[in-house]
Amino acid sequence: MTQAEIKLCSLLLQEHFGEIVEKIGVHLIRTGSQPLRVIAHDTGTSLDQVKKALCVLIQHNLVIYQVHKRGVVEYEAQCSRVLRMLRYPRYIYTAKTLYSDTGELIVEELLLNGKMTMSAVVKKVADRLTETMEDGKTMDYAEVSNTFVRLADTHFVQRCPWVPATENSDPGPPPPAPILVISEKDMYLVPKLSLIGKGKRRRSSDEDAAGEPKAKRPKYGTDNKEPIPDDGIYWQANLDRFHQHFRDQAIVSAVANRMDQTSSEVVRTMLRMSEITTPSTDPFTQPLSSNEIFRSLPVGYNISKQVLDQYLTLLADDPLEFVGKSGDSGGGMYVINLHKALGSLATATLESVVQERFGSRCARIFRLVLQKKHLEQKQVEDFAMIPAKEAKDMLYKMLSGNFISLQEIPKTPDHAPSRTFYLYTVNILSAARMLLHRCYKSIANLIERRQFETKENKRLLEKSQRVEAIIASMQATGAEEVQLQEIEEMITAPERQQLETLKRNVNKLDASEIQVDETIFLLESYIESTMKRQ
Amino acid sequence: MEEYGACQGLKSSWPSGRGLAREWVGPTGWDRNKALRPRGGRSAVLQRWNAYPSARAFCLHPFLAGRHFGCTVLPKPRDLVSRTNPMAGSQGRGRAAYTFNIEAVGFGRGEKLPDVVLKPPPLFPDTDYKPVPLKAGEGEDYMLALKQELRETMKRMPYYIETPEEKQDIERYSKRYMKVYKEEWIPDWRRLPREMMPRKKCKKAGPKSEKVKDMGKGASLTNTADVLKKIEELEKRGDGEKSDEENEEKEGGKEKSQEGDEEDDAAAEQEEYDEEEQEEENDYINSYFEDGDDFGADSDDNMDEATY
Repeated sequence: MTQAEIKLCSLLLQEHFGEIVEKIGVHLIRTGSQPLRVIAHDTGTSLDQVKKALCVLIQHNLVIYQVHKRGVVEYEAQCSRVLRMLRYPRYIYTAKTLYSDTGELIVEELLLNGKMTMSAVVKKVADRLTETMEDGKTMDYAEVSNTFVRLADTHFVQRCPWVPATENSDPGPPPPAPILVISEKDMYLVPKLSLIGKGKRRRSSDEDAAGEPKAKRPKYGTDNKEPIPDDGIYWQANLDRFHQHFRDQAIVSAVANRMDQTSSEVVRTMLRMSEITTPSTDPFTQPLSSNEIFRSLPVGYNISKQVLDQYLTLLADDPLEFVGKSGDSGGGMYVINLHKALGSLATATLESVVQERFGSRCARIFRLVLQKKHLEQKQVEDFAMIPAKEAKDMLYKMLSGNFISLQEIPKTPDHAPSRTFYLYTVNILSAARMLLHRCYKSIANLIERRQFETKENKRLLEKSQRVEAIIASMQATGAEEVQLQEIEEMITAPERQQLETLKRNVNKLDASEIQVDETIFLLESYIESTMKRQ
Repeated sequence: MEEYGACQGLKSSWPSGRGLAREWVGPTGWDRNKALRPRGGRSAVLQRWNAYPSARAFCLHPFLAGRHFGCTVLPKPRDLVSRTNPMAGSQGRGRAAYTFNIEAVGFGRGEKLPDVVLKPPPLFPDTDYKPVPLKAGEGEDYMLALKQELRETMKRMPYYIETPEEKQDIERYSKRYMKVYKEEWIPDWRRLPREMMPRKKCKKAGPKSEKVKDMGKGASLTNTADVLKKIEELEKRGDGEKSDEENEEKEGGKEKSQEGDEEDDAAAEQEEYDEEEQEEENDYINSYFEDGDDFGADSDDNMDEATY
């Protein structure tokens, strides 16, 4: 793991789980697989706290354990999974667009809690939805269950590996750690539950419970006396499926930008048809015949068969090669080149970065070198029609930024520099990795800046929160306008200004993080797809 | 040097020994600045040259030119230099001596090249172009609001483990009312390694619980059944036998598991968590007499006891 990734993981863990979990998590990411005592000793934290932290991390699928020989259990952190925490808002928003509010809340609960049983999820989501509904209305468990089943059928949620049922007459001592198994066919199997009930609105008296001493606080799970029917069957969000969806979205929008809406609909149909049949890591989808595509087009599109054929031919002939023709049976067999599509998207990202960082003339040189693969200095000047001095300057700027690299071709075996060709070339994979590394650094910087801004204005933020709380309580008890005005004036105008500025800055930084994460997704998908093919 | 077949013909013309590339060799070996000055403009090659200091030392012998990784541009012996560039030979130290055809990289002869940069790039470099404005739209706004909400929610979840704060000199009145009360969370012990469960084998310093050592005497636990259970469970713990499931009513919603050990430990752990919560009001440190490993680590944090 690179330093930038470790730094970013550390910031994310600290924001979401606190300092202790962050310390343990970062230590595991840095040093790899370690047993419990070694972790406690190396980090200098007490065994108790290490255990708590590891429980939290395992619950959220960030750490896995393995039993080694002699019964030693070793814990290993998954750095890439920690980085996914940046993408949680995107997952939840996607669930909202596909399955509306119910789906959104289900995915949110699963992401916030790591793993949950279906009954627990349904209950919590029903309660949350009931609170947002008008008085007197409640959310039925059945509706939430239906949405859950639909999510499982389309593979957006999946079962966690479970403890296999062993016979009772196990003679030996129980193993130090349960070995969890998972089978492909059971991964999306929803247990037959009959969840009957309605969501409960949280009574206002519960809010006064905050004042009670802790000892009287209800314990988790003791309210519910009956045994949970699906105990032991835990569900988690299937991030790979979400990634597949994002990738499809990116391809469809790329086609829409390049050609027109109808062709993007055709591509979307093709992708939808191969959703379940093609694993997401394949370079091509399964071949689809033109007749099948015609039948599966959405109902609103009434284009004729010939027009569809024309669109398919156009797509297949496009130099970007998103769609390829693999045969002639059934009116023409077409596949989508997933690997090439990801490559084009990554290349487009690189070009756009070069353009925004160095200017449009540099971008022209960059595209030229991309197209021609290897070019000498002189040839670059000629083809790009840019004066020698400037071309040289731009080339060296891009070279020192590692977007372009130099390839040496010796004429003689002793590699004499006077008798060697030096060619400029773009190595897309290494440039993509460099850019990805930079993205990690940027997000770490953004998070740090946001934390700094918030810390600077902490006093002011607390004051404004207190004033809001006072106003809210006064409004609840029915106060006059004049009194409310007085309270509001506790925050002076310059302070209000400061708060506005802070809010605007924090929003900007947050929005930047989300958008840098989109770039990270594209680059990571491309790199993963390339590495799989090698 | 048989392996360097191509250069064998040249062997006769090279005198052996180190004195060959005299002008680049200083008293301590390669004189870095002189060797590098000709290469001011070609940053990629420069980087590689700098990256392999051992390779530079290795470059003494002309036969090794180009034979090892990375080092493609090497100082040539004097003879060759004088052949290709008549000026450099006679000048020696003061003048940049190019050992390759400078036209190949696009610089004219005699042109002023930018200086070699010998420090890291600035921390906040100036950008020539302003960044593109952020995407704005319904989706982006929603995701932004979600992100900020999630951040707040995460802090209130039981998974967020607070760092134990230092005891302040004056206890602020408002602190008592600003505490966030969190739900407890108990993991499913059946899915976790057995060593994960916190085990309190040693006695506690609190008045509410008296464990191991005092189990023979009257227990001050509210529930005597618990004490008896604890005794049984602690006896059996060393054997690794399974114990009966006794804790159904304590567990509430939990089903029986096949490994009774975990059940007992879960009950013990649940009680321990409770006691931890309940005992926060007093000065006793729960983990004071933990395992021997931790004794030193913990006692440094809370200096309530006088040290002699």
